[in-house]
This record gives sequence, structure tokens and C-alpha cells, in this order.
Amino acid sequence: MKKKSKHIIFLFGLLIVAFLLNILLAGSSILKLDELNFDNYIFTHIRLTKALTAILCGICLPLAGQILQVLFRNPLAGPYVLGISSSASLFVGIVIMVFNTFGLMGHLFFSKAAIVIAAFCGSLLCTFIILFVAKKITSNVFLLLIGLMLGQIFGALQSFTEYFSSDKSLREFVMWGFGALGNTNYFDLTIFSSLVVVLVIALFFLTKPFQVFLLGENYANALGIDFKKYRVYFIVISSLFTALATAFCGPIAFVGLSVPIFSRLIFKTSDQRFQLTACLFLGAIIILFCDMIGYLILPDRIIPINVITTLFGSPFVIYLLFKTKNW
Amino acid sequence: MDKLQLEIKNLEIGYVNKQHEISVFKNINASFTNGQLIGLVGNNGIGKSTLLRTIASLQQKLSGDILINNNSIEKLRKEETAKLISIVLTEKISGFNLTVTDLISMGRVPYTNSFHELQENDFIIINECIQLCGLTDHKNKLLAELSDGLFQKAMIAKGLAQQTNLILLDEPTAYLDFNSKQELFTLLNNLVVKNNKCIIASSHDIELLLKYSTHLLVFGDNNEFEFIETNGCRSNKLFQKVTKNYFD
Repeated sequence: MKKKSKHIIFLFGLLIVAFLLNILLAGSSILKLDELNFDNYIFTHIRLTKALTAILCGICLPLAGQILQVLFRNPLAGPYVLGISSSASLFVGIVIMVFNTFGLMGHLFFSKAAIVIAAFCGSLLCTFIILFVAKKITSNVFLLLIGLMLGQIFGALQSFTEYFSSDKSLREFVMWGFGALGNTNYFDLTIFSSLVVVLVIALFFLTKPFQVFLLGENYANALGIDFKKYRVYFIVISSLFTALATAFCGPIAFVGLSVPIFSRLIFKTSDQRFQLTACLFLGAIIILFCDMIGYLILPDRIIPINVITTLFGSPFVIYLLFKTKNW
Repeated sequence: MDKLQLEIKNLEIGYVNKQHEISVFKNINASFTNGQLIGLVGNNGIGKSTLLRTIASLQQKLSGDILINNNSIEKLRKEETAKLISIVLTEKISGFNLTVTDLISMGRVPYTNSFHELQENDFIIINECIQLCGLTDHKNKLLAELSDGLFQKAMIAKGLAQQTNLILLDEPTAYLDFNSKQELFTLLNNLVVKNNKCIIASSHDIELLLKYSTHLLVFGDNNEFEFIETNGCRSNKLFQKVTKNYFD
């Protein structure tokens, strides 16, 4: 018990450090400590919003991943297995194309809001399809396969859209696909953070059924936990986490799949309340650091967050897997 | 511990598949109480697992009644059922850093608060179950590291931690070597004799059932069914028929 509290305090400390370093270092210039005041535009409206977005995104995706990995009892599951990000991408692709065709893309605020809304609607559409399927189908493996198929369908439709897009639309769409943390303002952050808080609280009230889900459908039912009912809750929560992150930051790769695995490998506990908390901190810390590395590697170029998370994270997870015999 | 009275009346078991009912076995009649070890005997696919799953409310019956202490089982809430019946299935569980102790503590789920926080009393019960099943030396092992025999014991310990009068086991001795089978049945026998549990187990190890069980449910072809005492079962016609190849 005591060890777990120590771990959480350590993670919290690390998060503060990562947050501060990110604010100081992750930008076109290195901020000095005395520049950290709210009158400084760069601090208030660029660095701080970006760091807060990084934290929120780092909370959403690993939690979504952990939920799906436990639900399917398979560490290969991630926020994207149910086709959610593919349908978000498709919607964003369509919006960018349509807006460019009608010359609406110039209005910055309008177009950004449209992309966020499109990504969110796309994610929700896929979530509803998955929920509909989940009510009809008991087998988890079938559900997983159907999610993958949906992803393929949305992906193909998106290629179809891209084929008919102008160069300008394509470029904008590719840029969106790199993922970006710096596109949010305080209005976005208010919506983003309040929804994340609600979802996290809801999830923590469901930790008991979540714990029992480790044993699978039959044993959950035999222990008095209504598997089908809670499965719906967990799908909704993880989909909303994915939808939010994708809407505000684009499809951020890697963290959703690997942070839960990473956390399991280093903390070696099956206690889901701890595991979820650890995922939430680790995700935020990793995204903050990756964002920072992206600014520091090349002198006057910013490397997209997705490149960093994957290039730096994957070898580390592979290393841990080599060290671990069983889990 | 309260007394348990489980009655099965004209039960028909099977599956519901898009409005079609597929009957697996019907007209099952039996009644069980504490201190009994009941063996289910019959060929693969005859309905032994289906019966166990139906009693545990993991699937719907097609007709008839299952009464537990004179209450129809489907009228009980899931949480209440979980305090009366535990089940060990054939599926393997591992991964997610689950250790033997983690697994056994899941047995406390029907009793813990909504955050599954274990209290003093829960830890005492979990430790008792670990000792009773001879898992003291293995309690911190990951499930993935266990042999099949130890895994079965851990699952039984989880069922014990659930503190149910009735424990259902689906082929607990499958995949086990001879010594482990013997050990497992000794454990089941102890639970019945010393702890006054009622255990229903399907098994193809007829000799062990003959040695340790008190009653047998025999499933034959063409819906032939007998509920008999193990003493003197060798003279039962259906038992002879079902186990003919075994003893030849």
C-alpha cells in the first residue's frame, strides 16, 4: 500500500518537472524563469496552453488504451482498434476538402472549430456503430474484428477522399495527421479539461467492475458484475477519451497503445486503480517530454510529436519486454 | 454457514439462437445439499458444462426450475447469486500482472465496497483460502508461471474466498498429471468433509469419482439420465453403459 502511494507521489513530482521544463524549453526560444508571468503573451497563450493540452492528451489516450486492453484482455488493443480515429480522420478529411472547395478555410477560427467538431462527430459515429454491434454480439473477439474492419472501411473512404482532394487540402490534412498540441486556446481548454475531469471521475467510480474485467466475461458475471452492462460503459468512456484527444490534437500515435504496457512492465501490479492512475501520469509526462524533445533536436525545425513518441518510446518498450519473462 | 438446498426440477438446458431453442438435455431432476461431492459423468458434448453454466446463471435455462433454498435462481440478483454459487471453468486466465493472491482476492468482490477495498477480515479469509489449498509457497507467483495443477487450485481458492456453499467445477482435472489429479480430489474431499461444502464437478476420471464422490449425475445418450449415490453405482444400468469402455 505504502509503496503505491510513493510511486504516485514520485509520478506527480515528475509531472511537475516535465511541465515546467516543457514550458521553459519547448518553443522557438528558451524562456527565462522571470518570463513566467501572465503578462507575457508567449508564456500565457502559447507555452502554457500547449503544456496543458499535452497533459490532457496524455491523460486521455493511455486511459482509453488501458480500458480497451483490459476489455479485450489483449495488450494489442489501443484507442484506435475500434476504428475511432479512422472515422475521425475521415470526417476531418471531408471537412478540409469541402471547406477548401468553397474557400471557407481562410477564416482561422471557423476552420479550426470545424475540424474539432468534425473529428469529434466522426469519433462518436464510430462509437455508436460499435455500441450497436456490441449489443448484438457477445463475442469480444468478433467485436474487436468488427472494429478493425470499420477502421479499414473508414480508411478506404478517406483514401477515396484524398484522391479527389486538391494539393492544398492534402497538405492541410497531412499536417493534421502529424498531431499537434499547440492548436488550442483557453476556450478549447475549458471544454477539453472539464470533459476529461468528468470522464476520469466516472472511470474511477467504475474501478471495481474494471478490476473484475481482468478475469473475463464468465468470471465477471459469476462474481455478480454485469459484464454486458459495464462493457457498454467502458466502450463509451474509452471512445470519448479517444474522441476528445483526436479532436483537439489530431491522431497522436503510440501513447495510447504503449503507455499502458509500459506502466504494467515497470510497476508490475494488477491493481487497476493504481494502474489507471499510473497511466494517467505517465501519459502526461511522456507527451510533455516528447513535445520538448521535438523542439530541441534540430536548431530551427520542429519535429512532429508523433515522430518523437514512436521513435523514442518503442525501443524503450521493446527493451522492457526483453527484460520481462511474464506479466 | 447457512444450509444449502439446491433442487433441480424437470430442467431443460441448451442454447437460444435467434428464436430457435437448441435443447441439449432435458428432464434433469436432482437435489443437493451440504457435504456432498457430486460427479457429473458423461461423454463430451452431452451437456455437463451447460448444466454447470446454467446453475451458475451464466446462461439461461430452457424450461424447468432451479431452486436454491426454495428460491428460483433467476429471481436472485447477480450479487446475491455470487454469494451462493462460485464456479471454476476450463478457461485459462493470465496476464496483466495477476498473481495468485490477486486472483483469490477477486473472490471477495461480492462482499467489498464499490472500490473493492479489502478490509482486515477479507485478508484473513484470503489467507485461509491460500493455506487450505496449499498455495502458501506460490501466493506471490504470477498466474502465467503456474503449472496447470496449481492454477486449478488457485481458481478453487478464489471460489472458496467467495464463501459460497456451492462450488461448481468444470473438468478440474483436465490437463493434470496423475499426482495433481489425486491431490486435487483430496482437496475437494476435504472441502466437502471438513468445510461442509457442496461441490459439483464434471470429470472423466471415473476412478477418482468413485473414490471421492458421494453422488453421481450420469448423462447417457438419448437423454437417459440418473442421479445416484456413488456407493453401489457399479450396479446401475446407465452407469454401466456410459462407462463400459472405461472398465473393459
